[in-house]
Amino acid sequence: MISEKIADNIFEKVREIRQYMILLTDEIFYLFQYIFNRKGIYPGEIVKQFFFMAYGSFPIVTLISFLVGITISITTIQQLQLFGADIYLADIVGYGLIRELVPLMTGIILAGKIGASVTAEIASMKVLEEVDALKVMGVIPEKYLMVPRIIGIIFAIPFLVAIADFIGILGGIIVGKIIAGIPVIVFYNEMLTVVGIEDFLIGMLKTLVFGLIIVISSGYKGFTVSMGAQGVGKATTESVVLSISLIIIIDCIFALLLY
Amino acid sequence: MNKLLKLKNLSVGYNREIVLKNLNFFIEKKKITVILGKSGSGKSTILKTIIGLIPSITGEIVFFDKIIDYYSEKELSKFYNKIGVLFQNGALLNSMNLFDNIALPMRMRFEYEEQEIKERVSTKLDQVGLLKFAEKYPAELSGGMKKRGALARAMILEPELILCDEPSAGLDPVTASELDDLMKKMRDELGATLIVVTHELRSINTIADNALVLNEGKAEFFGKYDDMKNSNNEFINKFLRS
Ligand SMILES: Nc1ncnc2c1ncn2[C@@H]1O[C@H](COP(=O)(O)OP(=O)(O)O)[C@@H](O)[C@H]1O
Ligand SMILES: [Mg+2]
Repeated sequence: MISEKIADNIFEKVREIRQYMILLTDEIFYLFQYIFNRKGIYPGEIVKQFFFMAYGSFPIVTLISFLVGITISITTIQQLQLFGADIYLADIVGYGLIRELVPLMTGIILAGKIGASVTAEIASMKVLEEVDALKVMGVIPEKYLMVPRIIGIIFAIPFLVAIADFIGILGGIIVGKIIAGIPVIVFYNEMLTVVGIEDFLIGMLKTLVFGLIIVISSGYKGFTVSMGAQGVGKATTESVVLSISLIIIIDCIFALLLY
Repeated sequence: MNKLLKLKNLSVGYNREIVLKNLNFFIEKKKITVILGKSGSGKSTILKTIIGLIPSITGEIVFFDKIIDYYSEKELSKFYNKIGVLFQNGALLNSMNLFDNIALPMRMRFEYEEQEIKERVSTKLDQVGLLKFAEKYPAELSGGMKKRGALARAMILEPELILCDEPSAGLDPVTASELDDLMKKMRDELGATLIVVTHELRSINTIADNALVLNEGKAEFFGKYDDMKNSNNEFINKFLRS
């Protein structure tokens, strides 16, 4: 029966959401547990994860934000010039990048870069029984494998976002200077009339939430990998799709809340 | 008779398929019990149920006269302090070298001095003949070396009970018989209890004290290995002659 099939699918989805929420709350618990007693994680693992995430993603995040800064500037400046309002480029680029584009772009890049590798790593450990081996050694895999990655991303994101904001705006400044002849200092001062520290912090907070979503989703897809040869590849693809979908949904919620 | 582990009315399955049907047997202390059966007969499932990776449908497992409560994190962690497991493919962590793999249980569970860790890990590596390879990563080791490494990891905290899933599968006869010697040594010198899933007749002949033969999820035979050899059960004879 079709209706039965649909019902089955819905139950399955509800079960998955429940599992996801359980993992999420477990991870919050393990994170605080670790902060208080410093146990259950391999020494040096947090630093390793931080470097992998921050240093490993920094070139691509920088490049993309520079290109996005240039692209939106070129697109907008043409419209603004029709009204002789060239100077407002600074407002649009500054506000748009810091509040919206940098968080979103960084989130999507990290979903592909960090999300995929975290899922592949955990999923293959699961398939090779390494996760089971950890468990019987008295280690909690959901803590041992996830908490260093959660802490790693919490520290990596501010670093990545700050650089992306700076480089993206630099792209806008270059376009403004070359196409419309806006002096750097004028661009900068105009930008500060609309963009404040709170915008910077909101962008940072959003990206931080996206980062956590990426790590949790990757862990979820990694731990629930189906056995067999295709399992790891499938889990990795699904994890990237899941992260990007959740990022866009949550970004929309943020936009509504902060309107 | 001294029973370390008792399994009562154990039924285990995946989804709707029942793999183990009402099994009853026990594991004698300081002896080696081998589990035999065709592939797919549920041997690995028994081990995984004992170590709490698969929940049983019915039945209970008694360890040191106490039913193991697999839902209590505290109880389970105490149980894990007393056991070591050799998984079918070794399951060494690919992200760290052999030394760190074997040191992992010491580093994660107790607060040992780095000096003591170094001494104990080196001793164990020496026992399994891998001292020279301490710095190598699992990907750089052969199948047999991985298994010996995994056995060293299982032994590092000198557990009371060691569970081995097909330790000699895929190994050359020389390495396989070295592993057998190692397991006998653990029994005779350390007083460990072992459960070994195996197919190798030669290995069974040298190590087995007791045997459990599985056939379609049921125990076809359980008892002393010597009695099994003299049995005139057709299924068992087929097994021993294969
Ligand atoms: N994770 C699993 N999900 C579903 N069925 C499984 C799973 N693991 C094993 N089985 C099934 O359980 C039966 C016993 O498997 P197993 O215990 O691995 O056998 P053995 O170790 O004796 O070869 C097999 O029929 C196998 O297909
Ligand atoms: Mg098996």
